[in-house]
Amino acid sequence: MTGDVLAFWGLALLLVGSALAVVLSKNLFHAVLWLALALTGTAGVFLLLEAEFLAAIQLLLYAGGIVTIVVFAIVVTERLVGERISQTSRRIAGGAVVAAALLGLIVSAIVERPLAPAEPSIGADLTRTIGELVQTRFVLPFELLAVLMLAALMGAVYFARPDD
Amino acid sequence: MFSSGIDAVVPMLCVTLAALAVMGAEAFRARGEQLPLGGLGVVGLVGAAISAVLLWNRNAVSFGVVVADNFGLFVTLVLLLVALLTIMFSSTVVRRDGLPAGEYYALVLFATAGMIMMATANDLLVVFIALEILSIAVYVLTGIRRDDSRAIEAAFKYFLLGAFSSAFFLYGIAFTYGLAGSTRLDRVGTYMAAQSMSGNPLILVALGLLLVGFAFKISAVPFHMWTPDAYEGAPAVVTGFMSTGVKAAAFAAFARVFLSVFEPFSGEWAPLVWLLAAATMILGTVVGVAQSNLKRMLAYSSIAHGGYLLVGLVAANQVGKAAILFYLLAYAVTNLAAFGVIALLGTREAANDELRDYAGLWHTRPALAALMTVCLLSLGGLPPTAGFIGKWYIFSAAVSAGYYGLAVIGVLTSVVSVFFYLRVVVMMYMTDRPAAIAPPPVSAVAMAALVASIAAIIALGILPTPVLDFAAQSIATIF
Repeated sequence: MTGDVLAFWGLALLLVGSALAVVLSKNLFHAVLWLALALTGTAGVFLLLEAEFLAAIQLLLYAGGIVTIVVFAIVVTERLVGERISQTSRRIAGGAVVAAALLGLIVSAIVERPLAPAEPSIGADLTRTIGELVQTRFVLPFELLAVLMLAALMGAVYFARPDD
Repeated sequence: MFSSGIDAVVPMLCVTLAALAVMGAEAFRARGEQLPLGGLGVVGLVGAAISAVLLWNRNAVSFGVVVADNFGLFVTLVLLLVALLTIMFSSTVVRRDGLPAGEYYALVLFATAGMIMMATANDLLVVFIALEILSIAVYVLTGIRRDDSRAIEAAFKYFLLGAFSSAFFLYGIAFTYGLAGSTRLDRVGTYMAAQSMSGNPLILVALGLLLVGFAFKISAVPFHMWTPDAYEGAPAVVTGFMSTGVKAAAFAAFARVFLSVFEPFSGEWAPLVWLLAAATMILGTVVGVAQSNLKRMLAYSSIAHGGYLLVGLVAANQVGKAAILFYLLAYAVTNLAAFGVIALLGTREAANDELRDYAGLWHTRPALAALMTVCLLSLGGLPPTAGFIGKWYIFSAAVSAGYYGLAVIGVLTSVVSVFFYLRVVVMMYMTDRPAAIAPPPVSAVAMAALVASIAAIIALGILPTPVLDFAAQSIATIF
């Protein structure tokens, strides 16, 4: 139990620190590396919650796929533009105030009425159960995601393709 | 609880299939060959409309997450009308501006499918996915003129702020799920009804985050920042589509979530929505007065109209209920027709959407000037138009629910808004200088769409009762 608590706070520190670094580091490439760390940390949180499948997906899709794509995007864009792109976050002070206020609101609400920990109803074979649920109870949202992907892909291809 | 029938998703399915057909036809199109892709879309829309009519009064539930109740079906029919008119206006614009017909029509249809799903979804997860489908499609449509830097800027701004607002919405869904243990609206509703006296602050956090998410999509002040740029930069016909379709779909989901699920907490959210409504009406009108670009002016005007819809939501009494849906229909037809006229007056090289471009339009294009006049009068809420009846019922609902302040703000902003609508009318009729624009030819299809919309505006203005009764029956199914 104490191991869990220790791991949680360690991950929390890692997540908040790396997330802040994503927003604050001037070097765009460094920001992406911090992002990779933050996404991996999120996978750690999933592991801690005994959601192994989600943790694996998180690593594969986000830390693996998304970060790679972002790195490529930066490299290609810098090649096209011909100069180093740096991150220019303006109005950091105002943003910090709003974010802190929202954080305070949510934290105070959670402290006042902690959410009851819900026991997951998913059985022993997690991946299999998820697969079955996606094909039964969640089949419509699943198919709708296909429509979403199709529309997004078409838009991306349209913007990326060269002029005829 | 779990029905395996697919009845309730048939309207959405028809539109999605039409989108896929358009994509397939485009993929196998020979270079230079002209295909009636818009016509394919119309087939899907008509099929969807027929199935929606057949589903009337049946309260079909599919997959446990989509419910084709009369409320959802009424909004579905409005959305199908919006898509149909958009496609009819587009036929001219797509050819004139050299837009990619395949992508364009497919995206309009995908967006429509997402809107329909959003209006009939009975699960927050499905609401979210539907919202993303329509948003992604509309982001791309905003920037569909890749050669126009203004359009690309608009699309990018819209995309960034839209993605940001989706995060708020998703966070709200997460809290709701954490509390109620389900994303299904009926179960969340049961939970909320049981918790109405508990004073749990987390419920207010969830409610607030969902409210912000919806307010972004219906561009309520102060979450409206993206609207003027996106509406001005997008092609006029796309602006017409998104200012009516996106708003109607988002408002339908908003009403469903807040008027039924969060109804036990209306004491908490009503004052917030009151503030949003007042700010939206005032800012939309006051800033609208100062605009010299017609598209930007109508962007602020549609912000203000979102405020009137919010008044209906706050004053959710017997009159207010029917007024919301009636107003949604009246606003959709009117705004779409107004942007249709703007779209038809543009050319490939110049959008011709500055106020001064409309000088003397009466002399060069009397028909378009007359049609535009009716649209503007309806937007301003003057009789005998649909806009007048819509506002009349919204404000009388506010008065009968005791929201005198909102009614007064509404009437005052309406009066001010008449000033900027009439400014365009004066420009068109009373300026002698012949219009600088060479009037482009208007296709018969687009003209038919315009005339039909104008006929609908006037018919709704003179004989509103059947539609109003229809609207009252529809909304009775959700609360």
